[in-house]
Amino acid sequence: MNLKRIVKPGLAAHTTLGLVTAVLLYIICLSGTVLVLYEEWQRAEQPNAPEMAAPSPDAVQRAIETVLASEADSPPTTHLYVHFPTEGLPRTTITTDSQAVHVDADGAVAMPEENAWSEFLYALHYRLNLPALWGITLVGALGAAMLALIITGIIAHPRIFRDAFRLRARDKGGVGVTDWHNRLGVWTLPFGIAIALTGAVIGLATVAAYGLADRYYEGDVAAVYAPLFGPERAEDPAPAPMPNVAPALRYIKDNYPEHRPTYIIAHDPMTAGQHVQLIAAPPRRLIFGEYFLFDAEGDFEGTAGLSDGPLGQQTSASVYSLHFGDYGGLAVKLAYILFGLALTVITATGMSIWFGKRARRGVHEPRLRAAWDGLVWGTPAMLVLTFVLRALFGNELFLAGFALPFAAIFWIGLLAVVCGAAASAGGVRLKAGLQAATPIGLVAAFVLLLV
Amino acid sequence: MEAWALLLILAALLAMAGVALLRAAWSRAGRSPAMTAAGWAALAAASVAGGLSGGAWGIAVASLFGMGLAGAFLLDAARRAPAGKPVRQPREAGRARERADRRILHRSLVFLTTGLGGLLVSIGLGIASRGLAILGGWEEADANSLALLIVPVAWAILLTIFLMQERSRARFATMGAFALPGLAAYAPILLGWQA
Repeated sequence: MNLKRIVKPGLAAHTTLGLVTAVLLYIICLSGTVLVLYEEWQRAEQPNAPEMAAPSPDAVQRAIETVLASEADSPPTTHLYVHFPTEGLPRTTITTDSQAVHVDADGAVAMPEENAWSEFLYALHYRLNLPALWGITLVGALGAAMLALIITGIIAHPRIFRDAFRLRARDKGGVGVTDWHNRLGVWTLPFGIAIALTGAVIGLATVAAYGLADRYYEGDVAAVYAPLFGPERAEDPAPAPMPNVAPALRYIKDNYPEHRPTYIIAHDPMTAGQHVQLIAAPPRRLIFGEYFLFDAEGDFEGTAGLSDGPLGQQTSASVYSLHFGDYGGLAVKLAYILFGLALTVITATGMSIWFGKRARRGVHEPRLRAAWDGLVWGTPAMLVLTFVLRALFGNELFLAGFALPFAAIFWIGLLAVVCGAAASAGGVRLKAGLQAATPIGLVAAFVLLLV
Repeated sequence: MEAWALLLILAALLAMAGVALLRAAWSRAGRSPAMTAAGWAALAAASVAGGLSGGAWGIAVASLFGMGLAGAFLLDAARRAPAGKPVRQPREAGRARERADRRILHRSLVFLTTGLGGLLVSIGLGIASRGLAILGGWEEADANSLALLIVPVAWAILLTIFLMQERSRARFATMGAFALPGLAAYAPILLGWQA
């Protein structure tokens, strides 16, 4: 078989895919790497929130009653979530449709939750701050494109495995940067495939579910997910007493001592249709947890089967942890940061290879190259700038009475940096300034938050 | 120490040994099929040991050790790399350059135009795979999960094929061929056999 017949079109496909997706893929890779520490960022944003190892069942029940009582005059919440302390975020937080509060170990409401920057970061990676369906589908499409980049990368480089350790890091003429791109690519291959595939599955699940619902479930999207995560129950809005979650927590402690409760979800609380789901994570599993189902009195009714049901359920429940790296404590998170940085470098160097190749052939595009440099160094700089503003001005920013969302600051700022870099190509040392300002800003933000 | 922990340590060691063996095999002047095979075998054994230790969780954790050691080897290679000489490449003639630019533009347009079509075809493949799985006696959870997995994988493969094909006719033929299963899945409704 003539390898050249597939290598050349493979390389052309790899180049095209890279050029079309590089900008957004770079932002996704970098924000995903930073988002590995999602819990730790939330902790840093609000260092004075009460922390604990695990609240007692009675304290959790007291907290829920207090929160629901505080909303007696508001429209009833459809869901109430209790977040349980984890290694990365050892806090108990209750969220309803209208508020989110931290509670102390006795179950008393301590303070409102303030994590606007972490939520901005989450929305940036998850949906590029776009409206939910469009954003998540676009990010899913980028995951599929990343998978295609991996496939075309392997097709385009027949010796990629044989040369896996050949790194001419200091060679000039593009050899060094190409070697870094290819070597990091081959050695993060399992990670890259896992991240691209799980990201694409998460992102494209919504549109895929619409298709499945249209063909097999008469348009009922929830029915597509019901065999995977359990069905939704019928609502009954008739008034009812508060749900009792304490027996549910005791049940898990007595019967599943190795499982770690992560969430309680009270559905339609204080209505006749209310029921309670307790999510508990078993040890040494990729699944995010098992759904334990209880009635309003806290009597056990069964499980959804995420941990021991059909393979399809277990696979679907494993996608999230495999993507976000929260299945092995801080050590796995650090590994994910390292490999995530490698993916980010692969994206950045891909464009550098293309610019370098063109420059050596006599095509010089100083403004385009400077704009790319502006994006590469401006993205972390803008993330740090928003974090500094969070540290300086608090959870919500206002300018002349108008709320200034972090997303707007990030995207407008990044656009300004990219345009500024292109305009001043070869002139002002913007790149060096951004490289210096980013770590300084990060340290300053942490100091401000601690002070 | 519990059995799962011992197995996980074994899996991590095998993953690192596999990477080290491959490095040794690929660093030699001549080929060493035996050493290369031993490296791949160690990586396979690491997957088995990781799987026995804790299923998918064990495999995922063990693979991180292998990739981590490979990263360390790369850093070492970067540290040892001698300073290279500048490589001169011939300047391309203006017309050749323009042709290359046009090819990139053309392929970018192919990506943008066939991208959406590829997604629709992939969703069709997901729908068809779900139908086939149910006909084959699979559980509903397995069939739905397979369909959700098929969509992105199929789309990535279709993107690869479309961008590697030179002619539009070939691309449309590919798209048509891959669209058939999705259309077949809707056939019972289109033909009025099913509501």
